[in-house]
Parts: sequence; C-alpha cells; structure tokens
Amino acid sequence: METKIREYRVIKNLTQAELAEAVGVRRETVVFLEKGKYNPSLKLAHDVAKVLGATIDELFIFDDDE
Amino acid sequence: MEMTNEEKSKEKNKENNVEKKDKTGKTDKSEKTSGIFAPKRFSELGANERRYVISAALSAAAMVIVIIAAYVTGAGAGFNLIGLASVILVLTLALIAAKMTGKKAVLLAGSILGLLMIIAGLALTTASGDNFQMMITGGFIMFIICFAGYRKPADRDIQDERSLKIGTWGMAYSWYLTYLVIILAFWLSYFKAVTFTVEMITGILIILMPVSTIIFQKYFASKGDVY
Repeated sequence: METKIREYRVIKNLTQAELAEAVGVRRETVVFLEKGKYNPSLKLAHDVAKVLGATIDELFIFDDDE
Repeated sequence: MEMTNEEKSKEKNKENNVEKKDKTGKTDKSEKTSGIFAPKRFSELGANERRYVISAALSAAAMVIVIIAAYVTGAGAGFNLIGLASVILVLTLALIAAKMTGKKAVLLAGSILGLLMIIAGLALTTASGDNFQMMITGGFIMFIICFAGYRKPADRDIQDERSLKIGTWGMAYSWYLTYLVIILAFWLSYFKAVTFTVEMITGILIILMPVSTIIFQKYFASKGDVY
C-alpha cells in the first residue's frame, strides 16, 4: 500500500505531530501511515482524510494485486 | 443582547477547540494541571492514572496478603519481613507517583536515586560483607523504570488504535509461546530428561511472560503493523 499522506500534509503545512494530535493518535502512527506500513481503521483513514482535505481514495493507493 | 455573527462564530470556534482538545488527546488538560495529590474521584481519573492507582492498591494488598500468610502458616512476620515488605511497598508507590507526575525532572531524579542505590548497595556489600541485594535490585528497578519514562516521547501515554492492536497481539503471541514452553517442560519432565521443581517452573513463567510480551510488542512496533 502506498499513501500520499505526506504530500497532502506538507501542502497543509502540518507537522507529523500536529496531524497526530488532530486525529488523536501518536506521532509514530502517522510515521508508519505515511510509509504505508500501517493499515488504519476506516475511522482513522476518514479522520486523516478530513483533516487533510482529501478523500480516502486520494490518500491510500492499493496495488491491483492486493 | 443578541450576538453578532462574528461573535457566534468565535464562540463556536472556542467550543470546537475544547472538543478538539478533548478528542485529540486521551490525557486532557485537567489531568495535567490538577496534579497527583489533588483529591479526585476514581471515575474522574484518566486511563493511565487509573492503572497507576490500581497498581498501587494491588501492591499494597499483595504485601498485606504476604504478611498475613506468614502469620497464618506459622512462619511469623518478624521485623525483617515487615521491614522488607514496607520497603518494597514504599518503593513501588514512589515509582508509581513518579510515573503519574510525568514530569521529566521527577523521573530524572528517580533515575539518579536508583543509580545511587545501586552504588550504595555495592559499596555496603563490599565494605560490610553483608548482603545488600535488595537495595541493589530496588535501585536497578527504580533506575530502569524512571529512565525509561524520562526517555519516552511525550505522546507515548496516548493509546491509539495501533498501540492497542500491537499490545493485544504482543500478549497473544506471548501467551502462545508460554503455552509451547509449558508443553515442552511437561514432556521433558515426563521422560525424566529434566527434573523441574515448582519454583523453577513458576520462575520461568514469571520471567518468560512479560519479557516475551515486551519483545513481541517491540517487534510489531518497529515493523509498523501486526501483519
């Protein structure tokens, strides 16, 4: 899984800590989300998309094989 | 006097900010400003504070049970046992109080105190010939816990979905590993390859379960997810 969370976060001028605080998770959770190494729940994905002003489909990109 | 639209908007932003602060952090402002010594109802405490209070209560209860058991079994709870139990209880409560404050200065002071206890224990053991193992062990525990608390990031007290998932899976893997070890111990004992005593088995389990839990949790935390 790839994510574009980092790109959207930079556009919004947010740090990882600020994004983490906004969605109620630890900063390291945001780190692993950006790397695509953590599969978030639907609620967390929705909260992140809402804060970044994007849709879940825009933020999370799945390979066709998955 | 009716509020203007701008004033209404400001009021709404204030409410949203309060809600946001309540929503974003598991530890809200009241927990940090009221301090550990301000009287609070148990239901008003945060999740971490409740854990600390329960730990303190269980530690005190364990000490009382040990002393009662010593009396009941006829072993007697002499000064040594009561003194030892009191020292362990005070040390446990001091550690819990240090962690509850969350203040870096308190945790650093606890780490230094732990180091001083280790050094003093070693020096006294060498000088007097008596065994000050409890002081050394207590100092070691105090140093490890306070230093770990001093080093951890500020948001580590937040329990999010990822930390809860990793914590749960770590414990599940630890349980499974412990079960395999018990099966292995059974067959080793059955075929008389090894003679186990109750103390050996319980000692192995006491160490294996928490250590394996921590190892599995750290592995999943570094990997990012549990699968």
